[in-house]
Amino acid sequence: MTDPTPYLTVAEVARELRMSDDGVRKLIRKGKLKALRLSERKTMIPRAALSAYKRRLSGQTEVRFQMPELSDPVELARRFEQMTGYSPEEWLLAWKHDELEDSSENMDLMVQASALRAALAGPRGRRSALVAGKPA
Amino acid sequence: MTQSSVVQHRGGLWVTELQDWGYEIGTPHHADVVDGQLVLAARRRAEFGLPEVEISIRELWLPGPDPDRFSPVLEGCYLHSHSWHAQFDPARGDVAARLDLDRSKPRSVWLHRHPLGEPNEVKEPVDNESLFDWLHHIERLIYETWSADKA
Repeated sequence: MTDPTPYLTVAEVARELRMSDDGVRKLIRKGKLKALRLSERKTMIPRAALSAYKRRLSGQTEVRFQMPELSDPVELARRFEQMTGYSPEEWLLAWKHDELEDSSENMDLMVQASALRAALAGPRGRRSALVAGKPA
Repeated sequence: MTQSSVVQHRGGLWVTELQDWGYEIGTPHHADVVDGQLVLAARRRAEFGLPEVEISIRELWLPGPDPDRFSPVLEGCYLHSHSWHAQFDPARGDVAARLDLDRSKPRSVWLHRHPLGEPNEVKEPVDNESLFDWLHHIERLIYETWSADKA
């Protein structure tokens, strides 16, 4: 037995959902069903997106975004330095001058270093630096 | 609105959109964050001949209007930088697509794409791309790869 195809046409989805082609197009327009617009005349629906739509329709519990607890910027900067060998400020400088490889891991660290620089300059960073007994 | 509520709102958008495309939301590596940071990871397992895909998102939202008038402003905060990364077939480890917002580089490439399968040094300038556009772009890449393999 062969695997089912990973992409379906609007007509195939309409048959599966027992609705009209126009009904499916409406779901796509409203953003309720994800679809690939390949050209003006060609739209394909990934089977994974159809499954996701069915899960949502049946009210299956889905994960919501959970804000993580904020960390102490001074402590996080210390760990950043331990991990990379650079302070966030030094990292940003090295990144700017193309001294670090432009990998996805390093780009993540660039965002993290920028966040730490901003947080250390903010009230929480200054307070936490005072407690630690060093300038932020 | 505070940075935290902007991140909460934005995280909700990402999670809904990723789930609608069939991804499961996971726990990211290095999830420790400070104010304004959004960190997310998602995964879609290999199925029906398509590769497994892992997505990792890291964004920084800072308070105030964008001093460079470059990126979207959401409830008084602006998007300072981001790394959106999609890894295809992570076991192989070398096929990935990225979209970065990096203001430390020349302005012409602040927002740039690292095209699928190209070396890290390759940067393609992009005018503007929302998270919705980017996820559609990733799905299109998956479709094109599948079509080419099938042909």
